[in-house]
Amino acid sequence: MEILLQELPIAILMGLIGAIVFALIGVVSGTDETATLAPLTLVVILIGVPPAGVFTFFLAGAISKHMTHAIPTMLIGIPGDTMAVPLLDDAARMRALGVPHIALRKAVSGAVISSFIAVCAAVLFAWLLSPFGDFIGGIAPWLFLVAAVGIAYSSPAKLAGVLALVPFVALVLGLQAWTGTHEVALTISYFLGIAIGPMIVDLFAVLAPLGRAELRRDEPSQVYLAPDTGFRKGGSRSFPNPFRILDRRQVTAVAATSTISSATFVFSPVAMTVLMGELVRARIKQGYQRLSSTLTAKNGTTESTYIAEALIPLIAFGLPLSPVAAGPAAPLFNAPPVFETNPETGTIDNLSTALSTSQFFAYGLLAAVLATIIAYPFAMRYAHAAARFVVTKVSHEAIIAAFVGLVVVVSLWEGGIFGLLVSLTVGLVGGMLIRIVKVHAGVLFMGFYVAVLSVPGILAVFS
Amino acid sequence: MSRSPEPGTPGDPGTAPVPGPSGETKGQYLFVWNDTVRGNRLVIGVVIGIVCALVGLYGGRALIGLFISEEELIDVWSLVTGIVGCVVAGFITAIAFRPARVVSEDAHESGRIAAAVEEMAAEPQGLGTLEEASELSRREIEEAGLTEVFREAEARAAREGSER
Repeated sequence: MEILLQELPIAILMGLIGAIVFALIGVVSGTDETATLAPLTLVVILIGVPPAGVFTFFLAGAISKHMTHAIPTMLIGIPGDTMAVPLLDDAARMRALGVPHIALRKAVSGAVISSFIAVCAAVLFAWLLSPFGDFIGGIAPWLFLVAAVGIAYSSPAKLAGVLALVPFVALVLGLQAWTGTHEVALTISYFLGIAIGPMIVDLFAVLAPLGRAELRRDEPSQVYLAPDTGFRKGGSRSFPNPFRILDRRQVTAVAATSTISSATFVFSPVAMTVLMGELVRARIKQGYQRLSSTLTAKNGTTESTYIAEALIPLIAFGLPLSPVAAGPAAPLFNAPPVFETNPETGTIDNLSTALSTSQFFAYGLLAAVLATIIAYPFAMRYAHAAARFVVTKVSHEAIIAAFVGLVVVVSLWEGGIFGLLVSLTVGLVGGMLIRIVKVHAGVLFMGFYVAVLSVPGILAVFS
Repeated sequence: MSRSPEPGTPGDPGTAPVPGPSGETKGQYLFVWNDTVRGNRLVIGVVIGIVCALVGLYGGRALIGLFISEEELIDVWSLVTGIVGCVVAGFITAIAFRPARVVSEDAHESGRIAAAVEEMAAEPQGLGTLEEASELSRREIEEAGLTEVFREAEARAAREGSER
């Protein structure tokens, strides 16, 4: 309790910073979670913020982002980030009905309720699983392999995704061996390369005459910003109450889907969002009720999968055994010299060893509270103004400039010219796999872990 | 109301159509990473991104080195200044170039109300009836002026159901 109180001020401060920063990033469409959450969390860890502050920063950031990502998704029809993609069709239909403001309020309210439920459910599931932690640690190399194959097969690429893992893992192994001869060990450069891969592929395509011809358009993109009539009407000054914006059936749907999707922490969050949406959709007869409830449950799932997929591996295993833990939450496990995880050598010195289960629970709830205080009223009141600002003032050239800069900074910082070469190589190859073979980034994150954890472990068994 | 942040200022090389080798003016936009950009501005943006990143990372390292002597801290803070450099790059590019998007706020999609309701009716669960919706949902439908639309679609669906 004493430690809890000692670290509480820094936890609150960092949680607030995370909530504010990611509430704003969430409004900018196309800002991938891994590309934004991972580097900023890494910075927070490396500047020496205590573990409680690191955790609340990450979690409040993730929760806030998945509230405000609904703003571009519902109002403009451009996904706020990767997790918002499954919401697009329902959002388009709500816009067609002329009620994007209701869609937004429902989605964000679903996110609020879901995040509180998910923190509790994730801690409970983690507690149930933790007796098996040592056993899981022992079979981790195989587990990563099985998880990678499973996630690859459940991606739209199916068998092609599984097969594509082989050359990708070989590429990572080769790059690791090469940088290893120069005593350079890299992790974040790989993650960043995978997360920004599709952008790198497009930038290469622009350089090639034939690729450029394919990307040419006669007209600029058409953006339909939903009219703001509904938004003006509902701009009340008091703090919004999610239980008044959702009806009882919708609250039940969110509660059920967020609990289920917290338990399935090894699956892809995007796939779970689609699945939970279909689960709700199949049970409701009236069209409008079905549409608004599906949308609510889906956005709730974007929160619960992220929370559970970060929390359960942290509490129960100390190993990044989920797509979120392997991607956006990777710095919580590996941020040398502060955090290091290597099941092969038995080194587990990361956020999981720095905080106890009760601390994870308390700070997890704190992160949900802070994100709700910041992002919820912001999304409910200023959605239209924020969306209008982004589409009329923030050019896509500016977003690309910032992300190109991010790749350069983080990779050069991590490994000098080797880091930059690794980011570019992994980005180009990974991006092509994402574009052409249709695997998603989660498959490639797992591929990275197969290369660094499974392959050495499995080779050791047979040698 | 239709507004464009794409004003086409006369003499502005970024927005003026660039004649191709055969004299055609088509295709001045490029669809990159899910949105349209203009080629020359994209190149400038990428250069700004790289330059700001390098200045932020290495300039920041040199600057912090003047105040701090501990190598590890300098290293960490250079990452911070580097990321600040990326934000600055985005800021400069956003101020220099307006978005290549046409934004409209007219009720373009309002004509799609009927189509959206039809799509719902075509789902395996059907359209259902308003009585099956919650009170809150019925109120939302009423406030959006959609009650009649749903009633008519319900009646149509019922007729089609009985005809079959």
